[in-house]
Amino acid sequence: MHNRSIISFLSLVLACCLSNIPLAEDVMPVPLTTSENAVLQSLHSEDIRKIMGRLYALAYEREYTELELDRIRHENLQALAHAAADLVNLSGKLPQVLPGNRLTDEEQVTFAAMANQLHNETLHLLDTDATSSYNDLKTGYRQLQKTCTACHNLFRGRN
Amino acid sequence: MQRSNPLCCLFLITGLSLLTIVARAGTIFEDLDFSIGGRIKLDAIYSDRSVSKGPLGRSDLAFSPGSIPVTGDTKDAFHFDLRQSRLWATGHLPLYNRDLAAYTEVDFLDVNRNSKGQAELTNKPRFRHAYATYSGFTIGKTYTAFLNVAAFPEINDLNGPVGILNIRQYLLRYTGQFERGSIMLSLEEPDSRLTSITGKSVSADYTDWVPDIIVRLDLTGDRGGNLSVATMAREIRNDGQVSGPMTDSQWGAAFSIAGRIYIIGEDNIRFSAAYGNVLGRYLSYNAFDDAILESNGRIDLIEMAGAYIAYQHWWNTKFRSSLVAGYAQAENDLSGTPANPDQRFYSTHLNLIWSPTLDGSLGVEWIHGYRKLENGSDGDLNRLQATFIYKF
Repeated sequence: MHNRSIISFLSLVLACCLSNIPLAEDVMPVPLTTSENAVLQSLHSEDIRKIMGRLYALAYEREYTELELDRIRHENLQALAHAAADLVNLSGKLPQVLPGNRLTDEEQVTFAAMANQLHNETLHLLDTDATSSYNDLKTGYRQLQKTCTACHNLFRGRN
Repeated sequence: MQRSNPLCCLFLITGLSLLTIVARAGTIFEDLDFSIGGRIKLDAIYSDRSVSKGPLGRSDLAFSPGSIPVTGDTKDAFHFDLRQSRLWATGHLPLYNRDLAAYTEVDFLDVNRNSKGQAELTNKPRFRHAYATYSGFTIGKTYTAFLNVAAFPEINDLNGPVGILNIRQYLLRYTGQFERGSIMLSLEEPDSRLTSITGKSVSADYTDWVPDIIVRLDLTGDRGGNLSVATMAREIRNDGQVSGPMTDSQWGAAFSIAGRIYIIGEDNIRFSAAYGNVLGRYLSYNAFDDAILESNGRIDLIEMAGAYIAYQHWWNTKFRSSLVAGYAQAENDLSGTPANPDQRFYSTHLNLIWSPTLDGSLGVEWIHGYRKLENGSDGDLNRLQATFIYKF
């Protein structure tokens, strides 16, 4: 598959995972409780939303050459990596922020592990971003997306 | 007989050599990241006045202000077209801890002169871009540094509004990055285009040897907006082959400011304004020449200005519209020539684009253009263009 398509797709999946920008295909909204919403909103960094918005709009640019688009995407991904550093700080605090009475001990351990995993993967993303390797970045985002999806599947929308 | 500019040959050979290195490196280096892609663009274009008098030409398929008919004997025309489809290939190769990248892109708008001397579309591939970049250097054929691509409005029309600086040519460019932007120094293909005493546009590109010199500063905003200021110096030459033995040359300068500013969400304003006495072929898709050739062989640089402004509104994540208005005007000194060149143009583009998926878009666009010559004759053109794009 073409780089642009891969990066666009992964970026959008990540956008869906971390921000409130929907995919082109409609996604069924998952109801959140007030406390969960507050926690997830804290993850919706304004910077990440803006960067994801720009990555989304890049898919429709017509006059940039693909090399230029590569460069702009890379710059945006670098900015995203920096914004993700803030996410790392937040993810480390997630187990303390979530209301413990709604999670079993086992679930809290799982959540903490996933938060740490997110932490490590974001750090890895920051490292691979510095090497400017496209393939490394793609792999990093795939993994980050898997972690986001897995965590959301387990904990999002619990009633 | 048409001859090639030696400077273009140098740029082309060097660029193609780098492309070849990247292409062949695929068999040597495992680190090569090579990809191909493209887009299918299907246009349905209705014009209330037929632009080409002979065979189907580019200006029938893409808005060219200088081709708007100023006589009343034209009929309406309708065309389907796939020639604006594109194929591209990119290659990235790590070399001494830096990225050697190469890019080629073709469309199918190649034009040839038929036996009657008329421009005729051939349906053959045409190189739009062919360049390589390494460590801040770009060499090959691509957009001039005088054009800020970020300011290019999203429209179905290929060429863009009146006032745009839309040109691709051979160049050698250095781009230095800093925290909030970049600075470019670019040496680009020279090509003096003169209005002859008969009023015909003539080119002396094969004797132009001093490259066009462009310096551009780009600043990037917090929200991804962009602002650029650029200046250009050019030597315009009369080589003597188009006006007898007399030769002449003059230096001139031009300035531009362009950018994209995000207003609310993804809504944005894109704009460009340029002024100078060597804007000529850079402005409004060859609408003006660089200078007027006087009957004594001397050249008179044409002072001109052009600008456009575009507002893009995102109705939601799938629908968006752009409204674009452009204007360009030349101050022709006709005291030494009986020529009747173009005096001014304006244009309006208004569209609605729907993107049900990331790779596919459907859009409909209304285009209005106006042209006025120095002798007062004028004409306008209305065009309706529906476009389907699928990227792969």
